[in-house]
Amino acid sequence: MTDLKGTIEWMGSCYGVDIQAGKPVIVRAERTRGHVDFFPVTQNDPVFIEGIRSGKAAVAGSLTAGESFACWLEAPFPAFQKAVKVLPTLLDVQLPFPLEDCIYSFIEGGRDDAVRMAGKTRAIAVAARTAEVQKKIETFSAFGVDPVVLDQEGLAIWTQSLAEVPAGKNSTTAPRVVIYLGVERSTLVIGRGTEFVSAHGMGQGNTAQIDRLLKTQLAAGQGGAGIQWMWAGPGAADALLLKKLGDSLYSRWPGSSVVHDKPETFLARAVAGRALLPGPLRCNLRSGPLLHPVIARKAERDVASTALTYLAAGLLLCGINVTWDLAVKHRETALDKEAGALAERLAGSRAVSAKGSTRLKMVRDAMSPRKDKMKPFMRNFEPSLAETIAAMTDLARKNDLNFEILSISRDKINVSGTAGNWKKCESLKDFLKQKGYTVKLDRKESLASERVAFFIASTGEGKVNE
Amino acid sequence: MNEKTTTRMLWAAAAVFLIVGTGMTVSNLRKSAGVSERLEKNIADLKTLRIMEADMARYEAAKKMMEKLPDKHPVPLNGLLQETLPASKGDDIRDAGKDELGGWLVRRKEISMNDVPVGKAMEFVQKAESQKLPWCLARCVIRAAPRAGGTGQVVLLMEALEKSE
Repeated sequence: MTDLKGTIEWMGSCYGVDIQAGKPVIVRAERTRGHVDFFPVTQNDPVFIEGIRSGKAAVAGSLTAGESFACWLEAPFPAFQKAVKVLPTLLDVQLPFPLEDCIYSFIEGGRDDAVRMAGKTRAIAVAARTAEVQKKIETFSAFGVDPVVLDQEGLAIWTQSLAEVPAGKNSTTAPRVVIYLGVERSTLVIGRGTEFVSAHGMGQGNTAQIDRLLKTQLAAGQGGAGIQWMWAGPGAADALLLKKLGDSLYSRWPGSSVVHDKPETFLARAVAGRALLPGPLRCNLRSGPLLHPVIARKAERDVASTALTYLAAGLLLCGINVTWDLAVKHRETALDKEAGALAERLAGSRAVSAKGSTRLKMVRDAMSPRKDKMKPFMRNFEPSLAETIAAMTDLARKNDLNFEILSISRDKINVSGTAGNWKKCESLKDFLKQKGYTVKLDRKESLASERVAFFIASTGEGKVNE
Repeated sequence: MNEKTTTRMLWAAAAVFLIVGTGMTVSNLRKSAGVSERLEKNIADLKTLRIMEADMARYEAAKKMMEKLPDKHPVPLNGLLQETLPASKGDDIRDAGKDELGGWLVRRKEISMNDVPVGKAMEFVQKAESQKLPWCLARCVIRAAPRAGGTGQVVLLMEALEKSE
């Protein structure tokens, strides 16, 4: 797991180094709240020397457009994850040397609607021969520096130029040409709007080559829009050189011209800024077998940290389950203990060992004779049967009922008599039902007086006894 | 032990705990319905036992209150009957048995009255039931007289507790 997309985001600062004619141009980059500040540093700066010596300072450099390359590839799959499986083969076809000798990575290209509609994916392949990367590391080593990140110069120049002078809102397809004028060499980066097109290494101020490259890359589709010329690098500080190049180029490729601020540290700023901040077109060609130990260790730490997170999740899961199990057992034991103690109080020690409904039955059976013995005491506090008799006679008076025989005891009420009509009998039946008795109402033969004779037998404890 | 070995061990431990944890979760989820049912039943049983305890407490409280009463014997029913129904005779009342109840006696008396106003009979019952050591109506049979409204034959079975000597 070493795909860190070229950034060393976990670090708060780093040094960007651009080696020009055997001399390093160094900037210190410090990230604060998503913004990077740059400070020029000399090779003899004691903080820089100490940082390099202790290995605490990370250095970002780049491979020139001549030592590496970035080119567009198109794969016949709509998903990048699928396309990335065939991209190495597509790249291999374009290379004059074996892919196995290269360090490479693929960056997902812009969401071009036409390409997407065709079910394809565009990607930028960034590659360099392993030997070139090794050589670059050795070049840095000569200055006592071990770069953590080796960026691709063309992409670094392009994104830094856009970061410092953003493309206008209405110039999504307007051509932009960034020329990095080094001490001994130049780099030409061509793009449209915000989209990178190509990068080329060349000799210092080779206008004929620039002209030729622009003709092949921009002639089609320029649509008459002027070119935005951007200048950077130590050579951009030379006004005479700029005038000479401009005179040669602007007549054939008219447009506006801008020189980046502090052009001599432009590339150092670009690589340092890209190393600290995530963003588009990030890459690190120091990967694979040449991966810097700092990144390898970080990757290992990340893996260990992920493993620790999973371990913590696993432990938490086990912990929650064990706690739940214990809580359930504890609750069950507590309930059983309380029920056992209560059962023992009510029925003696016999009932403690029993469980559930058996325990309840044992308690009920044990309590029953005791309750029977105490019933006479309880009756003195229960409503009297006389109250029921009074309520029934009151009901009889109101409903035209004549009782002939009324027999009432604690578990039985029998009434026989006559009523004005059948409905009146029902009122007595309802009254007894309300009292909690099971009532059976029998109608007898109608009498000569046309009154309805009835007999009610009701059984049960009734609310009389509660 | 290098860093790679440590990481491998961490992954192995994480895998073990995650598998065990997941297994336990699945098992507990399967058990949860049964556990919930079991707990609900245990709670219901406990509630039933508490109701039984409260019921028993009511009985015991009733006995205690009776034991606190200063009177040892219930008032004789003859006097109360004479007060309420002067026309009644003493031989209307007869013993209907008694039960021994651990230091107490449950005494029963049956009172038969012919052609008495039912309201008066009930008044007698009310008086008997409101004594300090009260009588209690255990059974009552009323036969209405054919043409005399509100009168008839009344048979009462009264019970009272009495402290054994």
